[in-house]
Amino acid sequence: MITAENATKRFDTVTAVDHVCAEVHNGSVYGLIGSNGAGKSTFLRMLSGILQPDEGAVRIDGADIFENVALKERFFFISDEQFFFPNSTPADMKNYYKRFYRYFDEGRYRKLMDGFGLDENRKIRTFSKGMKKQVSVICGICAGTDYLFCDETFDGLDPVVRQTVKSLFAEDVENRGLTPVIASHNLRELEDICDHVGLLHRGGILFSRDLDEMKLGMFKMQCIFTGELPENAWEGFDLLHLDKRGSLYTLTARGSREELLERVNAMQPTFCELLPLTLEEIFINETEVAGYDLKKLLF
Amino acid sequence: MTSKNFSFKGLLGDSLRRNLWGFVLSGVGFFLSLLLPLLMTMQRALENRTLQLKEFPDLVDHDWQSALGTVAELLGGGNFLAKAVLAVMAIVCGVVMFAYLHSRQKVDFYHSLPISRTGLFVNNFLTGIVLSILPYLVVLVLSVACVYGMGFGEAVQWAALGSALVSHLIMFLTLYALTVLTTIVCGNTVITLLLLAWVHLSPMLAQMLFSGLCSKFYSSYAMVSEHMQQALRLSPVVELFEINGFSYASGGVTSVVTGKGAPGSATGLLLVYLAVAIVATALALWLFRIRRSERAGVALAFTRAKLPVKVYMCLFMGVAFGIVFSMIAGNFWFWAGLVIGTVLTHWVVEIVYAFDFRAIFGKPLHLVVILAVLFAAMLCMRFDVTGYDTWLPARDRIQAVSVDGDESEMLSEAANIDAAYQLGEIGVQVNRDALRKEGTYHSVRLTFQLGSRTESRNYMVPENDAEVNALLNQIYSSAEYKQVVWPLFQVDLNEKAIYLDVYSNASGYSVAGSTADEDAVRQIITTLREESLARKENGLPVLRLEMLNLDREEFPSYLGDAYVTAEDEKTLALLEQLTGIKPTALTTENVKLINLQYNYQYGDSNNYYTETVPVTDPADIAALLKNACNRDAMTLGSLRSAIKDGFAFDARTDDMEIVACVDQDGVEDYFQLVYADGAWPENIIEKYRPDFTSIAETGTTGEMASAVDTEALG
Repeated sequence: MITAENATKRFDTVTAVDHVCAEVHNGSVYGLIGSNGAGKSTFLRMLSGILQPDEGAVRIDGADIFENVALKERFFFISDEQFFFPNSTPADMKNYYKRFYRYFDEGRYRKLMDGFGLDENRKIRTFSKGMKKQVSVICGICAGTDYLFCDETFDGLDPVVRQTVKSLFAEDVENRGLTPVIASHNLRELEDICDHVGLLHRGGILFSRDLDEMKLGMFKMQCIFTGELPENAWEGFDLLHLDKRGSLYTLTARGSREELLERVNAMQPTFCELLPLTLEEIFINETEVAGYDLKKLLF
Repeated sequence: MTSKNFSFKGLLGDSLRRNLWGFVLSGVGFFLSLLLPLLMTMQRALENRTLQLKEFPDLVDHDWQSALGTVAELLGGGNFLAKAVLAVMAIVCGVVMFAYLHSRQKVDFYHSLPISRTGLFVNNFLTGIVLSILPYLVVLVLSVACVYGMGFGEAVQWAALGSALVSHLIMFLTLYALTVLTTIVCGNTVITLLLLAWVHLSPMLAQMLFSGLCSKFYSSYAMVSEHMQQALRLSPVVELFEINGFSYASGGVTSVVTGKGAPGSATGLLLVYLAVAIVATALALWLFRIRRSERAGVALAFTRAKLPVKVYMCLFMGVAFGIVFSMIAGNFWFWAGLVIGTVLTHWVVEIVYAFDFRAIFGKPLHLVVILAVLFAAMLCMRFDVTGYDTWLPARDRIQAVSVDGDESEMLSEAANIDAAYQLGEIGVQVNRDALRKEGTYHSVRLTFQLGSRTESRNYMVPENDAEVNALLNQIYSSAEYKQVVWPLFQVDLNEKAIYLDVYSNASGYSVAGSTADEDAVRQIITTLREESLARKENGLPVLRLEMLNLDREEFPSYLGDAYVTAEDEKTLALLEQLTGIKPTALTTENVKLINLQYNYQYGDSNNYYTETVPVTDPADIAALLKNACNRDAMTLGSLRSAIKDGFAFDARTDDMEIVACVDQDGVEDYFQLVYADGAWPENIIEKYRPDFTSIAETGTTGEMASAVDTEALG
């Protein structure tokens, strides 16, 4: 398990990460959300042992990460600005990584390179930005580490590849308990993969929640009523959001599924259905509850 | 480094493969600087030899030896091009192997890998060394093979080759470690290169600046050659070219006088450099380990280093500007230069630190404090707060002393030390007097041996002071002084094949005779040594023996002069017996004209009028030649330098010039004549002395008066 206890990092007079406390459980997919400059990359660089916290600690299984070679073998960091040796090929990079990661799966690497249509003997400098990202992701997945730290990894990937990568992550999470920590400024990218999300803002974590927990008591519903509803029609509902367009009502409310359906049906709608909540909606609701305006935090 | 499949050797191999450019650069560099010149030299020597065997067989051996010497020099420590390549590789590899620290992208990559900082350092450090040194060793082996293959095996002196190799490796390691250290300290590659130049050159320049300051403020400061050597030693990149194997490439650190001209040992310095390399490497490793990854891209990676670096640069540049300004425009501008140099440097450093021009006026308090410290230090020197100029060691601490000589000319006899000490006391008293008495002064440099260290001072003593002259004469005429300083006693008769070129008063610049017979030379020098120690009269030399030997390339190498006076009868007899050479004096037969050049001082002391009066009367010429010594043929120089050689000619000789025009086989040569004390031809001198009265009254310029008088005489 990864733990951050009051992890703080300052760059001269700027505090990039400010007393961040977080836990990342093994086997989960942790999304790190935040606007530009929120401290996501700095936090990931601390997780990767590149930066040493000025205060607090960043640990894996209770041991400090910085200069801990044994721990560093257990994770792979995909930077937002990947570095490849000059004139190197994917095969060169693979061979280099193999020296450090004992469980590097070369067979899988070849399979994935073929699958993504990448030539492992072509010079990386001739690759597009997306292709370079793919090379990094493939090396990261094949490194066989327990943790994968991805900094804006989905940026520059086309939708098909993005989904494929997510599938690969999911497969490894399920098969071997991989724990990806994915930093992004785009909530939608993390929507269908993360099960735990931390929101960073100005160096501090505003909150960190389990998505299932957040979704558990929150539902989105669309209903159509023929007649005008009385003003107090929604009294007794724990409403998070209500929108009315003509006779169409869209509401987000807390409570149990059955209870909500029963109460709405009692109001005799002509149409009523439950809709899946997007991650963005969940976050908007949660942050509003916490007293923040997510749109100002992220966009 | 705990991974099972992690192999340090493999990682090093990987690094080497990724940096093949280094092998190529180094290989090409050493090929062009070592193997190619060797091949060219040997090929040419073989061609010459073939030609000479047919046409000039006498030259074969000489030229072959010369070619062997050149080959040995190229292979060993005398190859300047190979040294330059070595220095370039040390700097290029040192920077390149650690320049990743200056890029955030690369830092993220390397520092997230499961390898310790120590492991990474060792890998990169070794990669740089292997990239540079392996091609050097390969080319060196190939060169030796070619040398043997082409028949120049005699040139391979394994001991010299080994010492050159070891010294090259030590110097490379020193330069490389300092470069790595600088690269780690910096966060930007351009700043690294600038700081590197500063690291390599500024200690040497700082030492020179300090010497300049001492010269400026301390009248007793003695700028001795050792100071320059010490300054050079602070810069390994300069010293690399000074060292040949375990010795200095030239006799620069020792006297060129015979016996002391052998290159000095550089073993101690190499050991110091090795220690510097080890310390710099350890420091670099420590800094590498604690270096913050986020410092990539900044000017200096260690915030705490910023202030000391800035202070050092400001002090250095302030003093440098001050000295340059004072050299250009006088003393007042020294102080203006201090301010301008310090302020400009402070501005530049602040801009560089922030990479922002708007930071130019940053940290004004620092600037004020630096200026205050600099001015305080300069004022301390200006008013000699430390008593530098009045310093004299306690008599009982002085183990030896050198008078106007270097550290190799130390006198340890109590009488000489006492005399030197008294000279020092006179000098201190002169310096204590804020306003010196009227009169002229000259400096006497005393170098004191105080335990393991030496200290030199230039003491100002009154010119023509009886006490000073007596003390100086006591020292210069002592047997110890002669034995320690005179070249006559320094030549090693057992080791050097010495030959003598003999000059007499009449022979002028032409050699009167020579002898290369070892026995004859040994007998002559041994006899002259005995007689010169026993001289009692104050006679001038009648013969000058120029002692020479042949260097490795068969060129004559000057070892020094020895003088024979009329008092040295046994030597003169021996010379005549063994070589047939006798002293010959200038006579009216070959001297038809003597010019008497009179100097007249008028007005204030800066105005001199000079008039030359020709003497053509044979009787007067004969009178002038009687007892005359050919100053040029005997290379006596000034009165002070002649005294050191044991000759005190009449001081009036320095007030005027008596120049004999000598006709030698139709070619006219001019020689200055000097006379021993008591032999001054006063009558003749006064007979021809012009009347300067009108000049004194009218202040007529030299050219005008000269023209008038010459016309009158004509």
